[in-house]
Amino acid sequence: MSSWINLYNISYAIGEFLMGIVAAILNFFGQWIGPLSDFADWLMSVNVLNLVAIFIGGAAVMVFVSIINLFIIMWIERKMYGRIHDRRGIMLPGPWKKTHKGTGFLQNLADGMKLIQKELITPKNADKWMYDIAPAIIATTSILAFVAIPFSETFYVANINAGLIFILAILAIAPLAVVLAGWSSNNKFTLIGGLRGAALMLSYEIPLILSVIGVILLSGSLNPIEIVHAQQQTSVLGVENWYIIPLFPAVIVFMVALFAELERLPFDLPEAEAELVEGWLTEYSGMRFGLVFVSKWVRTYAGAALITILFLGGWSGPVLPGELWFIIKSYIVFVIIVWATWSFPRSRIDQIVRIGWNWLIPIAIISIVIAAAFKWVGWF
Amino acid sequence: MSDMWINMGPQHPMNHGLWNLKVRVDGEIVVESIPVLGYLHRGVEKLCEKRDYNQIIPLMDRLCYVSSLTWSHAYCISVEEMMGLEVPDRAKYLRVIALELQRVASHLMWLAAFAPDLGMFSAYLYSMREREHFLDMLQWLTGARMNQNYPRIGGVRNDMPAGFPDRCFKELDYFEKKLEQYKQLFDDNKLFRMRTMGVGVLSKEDALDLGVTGPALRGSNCPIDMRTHDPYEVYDELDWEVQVGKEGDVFSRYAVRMGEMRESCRIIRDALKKIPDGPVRVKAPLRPTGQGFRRTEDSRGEALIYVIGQGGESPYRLKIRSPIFAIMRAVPVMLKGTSVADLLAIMGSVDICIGDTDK
Amino acid sequence: MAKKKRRLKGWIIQPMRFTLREMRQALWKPSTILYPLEKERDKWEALRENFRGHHEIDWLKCIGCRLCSRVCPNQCITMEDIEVDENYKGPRRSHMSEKKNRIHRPGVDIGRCLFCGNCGEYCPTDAWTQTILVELTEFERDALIYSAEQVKTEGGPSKKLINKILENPKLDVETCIGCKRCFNECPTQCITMIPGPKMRKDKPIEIPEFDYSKCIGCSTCCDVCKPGSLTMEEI
Repeated sequence: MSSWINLYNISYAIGEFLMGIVAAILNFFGQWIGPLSDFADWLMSVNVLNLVAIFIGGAAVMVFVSIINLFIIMWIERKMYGRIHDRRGIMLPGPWKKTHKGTGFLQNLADGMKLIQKELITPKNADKWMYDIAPAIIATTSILAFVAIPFSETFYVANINAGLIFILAILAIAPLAVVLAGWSSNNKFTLIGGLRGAALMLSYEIPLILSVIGVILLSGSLNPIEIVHAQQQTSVLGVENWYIIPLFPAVIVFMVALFAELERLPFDLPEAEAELVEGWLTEYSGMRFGLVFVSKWVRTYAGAALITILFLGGWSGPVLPGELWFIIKSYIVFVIIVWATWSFPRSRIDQIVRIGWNWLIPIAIISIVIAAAFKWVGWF
Repeated sequence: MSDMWINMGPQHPMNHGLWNLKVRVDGEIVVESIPVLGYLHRGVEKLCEKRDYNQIIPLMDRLCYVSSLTWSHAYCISVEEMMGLEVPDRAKYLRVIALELQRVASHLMWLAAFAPDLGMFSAYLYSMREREHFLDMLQWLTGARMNQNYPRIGGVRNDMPAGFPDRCFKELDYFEKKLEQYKQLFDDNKLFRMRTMGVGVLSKEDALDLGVTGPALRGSNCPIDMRTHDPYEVYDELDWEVQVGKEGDVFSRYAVRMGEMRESCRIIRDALKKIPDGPVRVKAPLRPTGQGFRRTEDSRGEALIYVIGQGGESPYRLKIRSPIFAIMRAVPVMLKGTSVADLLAIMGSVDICIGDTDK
Repeated sequence: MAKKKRRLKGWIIQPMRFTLREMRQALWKPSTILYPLEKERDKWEALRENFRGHHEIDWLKCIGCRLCSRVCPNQCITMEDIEVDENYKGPRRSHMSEKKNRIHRPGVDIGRCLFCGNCGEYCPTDAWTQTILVELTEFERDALIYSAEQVKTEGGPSKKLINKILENPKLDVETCIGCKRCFNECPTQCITMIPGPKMRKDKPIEIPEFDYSKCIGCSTCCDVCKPGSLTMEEI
């Protein structure tokens, strides 16, 4: 069933249809102007159609990630932590019931509309160019990470050989923008927040990458699709060898490091709203703030998707199509992230660094040793 | 990097109330701190000189909106001291019940303010939810949820409603069960322990020197509680224990407050069982002469009200001793050398109420 | 060992267990209510004893004695002078108001009221009641000033008068000039004029005599007394 209904085929068909219309028009004029019909023939060639199909597929992924998926995960988080708090969460502007029993699915849209209408304030002595560019850097790099994240064997934008490195690298750009924003806002709170962001990056990028090395060792590839393929083979246990079983310590390290990477609550020091008003975000207003706020969720979903690819077997699963399995798994990971976020107090910067260097790096190295041992024994 | 001054206030998420904490930080380390008070000065002491003795009681409620009943009670007990008035037994028990309900509600409000300071927003809503039960009880007993105006000079405003003890026992059962469960969220929580243990240590000597009272003093291993130290009402007849913390840090202040909530539940149970029958109010003279001076245990520390009457309808002078105003002097001592993140935990553990501090 | 195990659990498991339990309880029925759409009427009704909300004044009980406006800490109660027809069944204020067909009833400025309940507490006839109605917001400040008609209810006549202030007027016979002001203004009509010891133009000056069983200690007589020969004394 899922053999022919996939993103590539559908977007190829759409592309062929659209290009067919263009080519027909060109051919009509080609009766009088010769080169135009040659151009039409070139447009209908397989290479160009492939390219168009990839563009359309990429656009579809982006639309899914940045609009549909984003609304769903924002809704899940806000509804879920509402329930954790023993309250209803968002409920009024839903598409169905507009009472307290409603879903409130469109609340985030309403919030976005409100943020767009707000004034964009730039502080008087701010470094304007840097101040303007910082939210843009965060938003673009967050969405760009999805270029290399495949949702299934065919549902992806680009099949990069070193895709894993690309994702981790592009997610690591954001702390730079945090420092930039913190410095350029010309505010003491943002400055402290920005420098905290830099300290967090130093202590958490290393365990994050070390915990991935085990996966690379076992799968022998940096390509996310190849990693999932490696997990789909049956192991000695008779089930698909998802790497969560051999590399459980690495999953924990990855999760904890991800919380710091995403600036989520136990480690949300750069924007600790109790002490540093809103941290490095203090001076941002309007849609600049909205962009950063939204891209936090995009990054969270990127993290959940990464865990799904690296440790939970990606899109492998019975009966349902692969894309659906991928989304289900990543949503489960996302729910766990939300659940943990609202259970812990914020930790202190020196404690975070101590946890990072004293606990997470040794555990990550142990997981590498475990992976190497499994590889040597030949179980994977 | 050189030092810089940060104004934490008057509008800052850290300060619960309208005050300003000027902090000089070196990176993340607090070098120096100056608390600035007076943004909420309303001249309550002067207002009291223009009201008659009964009209002052609702004003005293407004001193601290979180534990208003303790303040109006402190005023009433001082005026009774001035008049040499003996309150009926039933009124004393009713006052104790109302005071302890108020104390639990106040400590829950503290928890609701303290936990978000540490980033635990969930605990804010949990403790506000439990507070609702105690406010319901107070509403039923005293007639209002916030500014109760319940104690009167010479007794209390009204008697207990019928069926109050049964429902109160039910609510206390629920709350004590919840209080046990909170241990999972706070006491066992490793991150919470890391944030609070060994932070903001106030030694016993410093605490006594600086005039610190209340849970902050008892957290520094000094078992001074006005309810036993200078007993008023019927606290010495009831079965309970003073809560003492050993370390003097934020965690022991937290533990003292949690223990006090548990003890308050015990006091309410005991008082509801032992309460005698009788009148709830006696006649008080309208134009007394003399001076009254009585200290009580507010939920934040030692509340003291000093009244002088010179035969008029209103007092000649009324002086309020606020616990937090004294603790503010200890703030620079506690803050020195801590980090900005710890500042939150320390100021949260003090439980600041600006209403009675600025008067 | 057990303590160490608990500590290890405390890293992740214990707090998340707590939040999971709360979430499980709240999944179908959270404990919040969406206020304007849902209201806990049952709870309000159950806890209505002693509650102090919106004011209501029983005009058939009220005698217009001004005590409420005297004990109010914020002076938010004003007495209104209302003209009634001759066969108005409610209590008149005094001899004077019986003569002029005017009654005095209190109006409340809710914007200044601090809901202390002193007015109801000291009311000698229990005409003041405070309901459980607390939704008193308005868009304009003037709308919060309730006139006497707006807080009017009509129950039944009161049984008896209680002196809750616990003060009674005392007369200094030497300075009394017999002007009958107190007699006219006393809201409970507890004053009768009797011939006094002093004489003026060969006639005895009439001095007030108080029926202390009817006196409510409102001190209206002291306020209207021009020579200041009436003072309040505690019982």
